[in-house]
Amino acid sequence: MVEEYDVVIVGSGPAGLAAAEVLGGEVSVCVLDEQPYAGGQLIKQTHKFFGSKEHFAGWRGIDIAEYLIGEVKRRGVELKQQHRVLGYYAEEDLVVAEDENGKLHEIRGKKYLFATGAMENMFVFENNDLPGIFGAGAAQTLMNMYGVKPGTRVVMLGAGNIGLIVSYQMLQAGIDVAMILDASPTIGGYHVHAAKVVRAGVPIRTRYTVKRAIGEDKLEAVEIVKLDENWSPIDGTEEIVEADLLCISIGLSPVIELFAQAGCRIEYVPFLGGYVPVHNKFMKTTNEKIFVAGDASGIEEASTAMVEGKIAALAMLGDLKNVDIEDRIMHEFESLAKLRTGFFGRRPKEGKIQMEKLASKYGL
Amino acid sequence: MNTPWRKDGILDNSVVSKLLPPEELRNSKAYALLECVENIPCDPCTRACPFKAITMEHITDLPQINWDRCTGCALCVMACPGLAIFIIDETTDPAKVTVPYEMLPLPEVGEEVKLLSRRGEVIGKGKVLKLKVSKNKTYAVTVEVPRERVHDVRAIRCIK
Ligand SMILES: Cc1cc2nc3c(=O)[nH]c(=O)nc-3n(C[C@H](O)[C@H](O)[C@H](O)COP(=O)(O)OP(=O)(O)OC[C@H]3O[C@@H](n4cnc5c(N)ncnc54)[C@H](O)[C@@H]3O)c2cc1C
Ligand code: SF4
Ligand code: SF4
Repeated sequence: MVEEYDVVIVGSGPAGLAAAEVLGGEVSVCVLDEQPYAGGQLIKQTHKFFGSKEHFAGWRGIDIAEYLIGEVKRRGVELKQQHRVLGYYAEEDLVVAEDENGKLHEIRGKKYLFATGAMENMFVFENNDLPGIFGAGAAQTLMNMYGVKPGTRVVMLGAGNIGLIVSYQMLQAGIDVAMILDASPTIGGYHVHAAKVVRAGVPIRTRYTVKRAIGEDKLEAVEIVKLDENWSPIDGTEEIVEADLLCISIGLSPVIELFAQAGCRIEYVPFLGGYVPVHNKFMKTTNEKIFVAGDASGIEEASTAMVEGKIAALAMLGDLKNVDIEDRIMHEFESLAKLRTGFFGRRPKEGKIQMEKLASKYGL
Repeated sequence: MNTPWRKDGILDNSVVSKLLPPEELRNSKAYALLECVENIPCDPCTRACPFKAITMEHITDLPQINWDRCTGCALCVMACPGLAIFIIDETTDPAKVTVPYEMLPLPEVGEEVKLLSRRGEVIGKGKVLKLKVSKNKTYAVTVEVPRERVHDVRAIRCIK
């Protein structure tokens, strides 16, 4: 039997939940997520967020998730956890989701929002499959969701915001952070996040990378090496650092399988984190039933993910019901523009400008 | 923009000296010091201050502080997600520094703790004078600091 809703949302991260909050009470909505808990990345974010009041600045990620889940439920939205969406089937116009018992469910919407987030990029080096080597996000999940210390002494590769924040959370969990390395000449993340770990005694070494992992059947040490201006290792600068944990945080890539499978056009936009579904400023993809929001549309932040979720929701609402969404959507556009200013906003801003051009090429 | 801190995460004296209030004010009362030097999309400090001492026109602007309004109450210290605000009181000897703190164990008033520099070096010990906590669970810990170290101490570590 096919379950029917006005809007089917895949992904209960900040983008999906913010969309559900707008749509709930107006139309029937179902949110599907493969994880046992709703909230996406938010639930493991124990640090305080940036942004402004409207974007929950100063709140911890986990508290934002709790608030949004409450609001969404209060508005009668159906949240289905442990429902992994396997694909969208255009002929029948429905998605198929597999629940925790392996049972398949057919779910149809008049509109779909795929807010599937991002996954961590892996890094190639000798022995990178030794136990004790994690993506920074995976290590964060172990610590903050399951209360498990993934190791006692860590080397972090990547000084972007995620590498810096996860390092700080590791200090809070009582893990010794030996050092943070980054191949670039400068720290990628915010200075304030870097300063927190540095004054706790953790050195950040730019222009350094991991050469190989050392250990018999689990990680025992990491060989690091300095890089020259051309990013090539400098012979003789190798050092062995004892560690039972190595975390990789060198970037994220949008999760786009569902879009690709559904036949949405995909393009490569480096400023957005790689391959992303083509979308216009209303977050509509080249399939007019399918919308995108959040990291799946380009790697950014929870704050922008929520605004994009709201924009997609308002656009869907405008398509589904005869309501005037113009003022509300303009407000959200302004909000996005504000968030994408300054030194750190320049990449996503440029990426989204390129995306608008691509979208018009596809007639969006 | 000249951004030497983006190499190692450390603000050196040439940067910090530009963030300090005029000497006259420093000698007259405790003041908030905002070690926030990048145009990041963030503004909770402006909302935290009950005296509207911190302002910002645009979310990615640097926060501006009007020290005449600042009472050194430390509400902004606990609100700032960057943990970038400190209260400095160099009117007394020893001086006092209030730092944000989110680690365990929690120090107790009267306890000796290690004093750390921006580089994370232990540069002495000091007594905890005060402990405040906000509802978002960031503590503001006030410690006694030798006067000549008041512009170096930016973190603490418990000894126990
Ligand atoms: C360590 C760290 C620190 C961060 N700090 C901040 C910060 O301070 N401020 C800030 O604004 N942002 C921060 N972010 C970024 C922020 O968390 C992300 O940008 C945001 O979560 C993206 O939201 P999203 O809804 O697009 O995706 P996600 O939160 O990733 O949610 C996607 C959801 O989709 C589900 N999903 C994917 N595919 C399927 C499928 N096929 N079937 C069912 N479910 C599926 C996933 O299970 C997941 O729950 C941080 C991120 C990390 C990792
Ligand atoms: S210390 Fe108090 S008065 Fe001074 S800026 Fe911070 S919140 Fe405002
Ligand atoms: S809250 Fe902190 S990090 Fe954010 S702008 Fe204010 S001083 Fe800077």
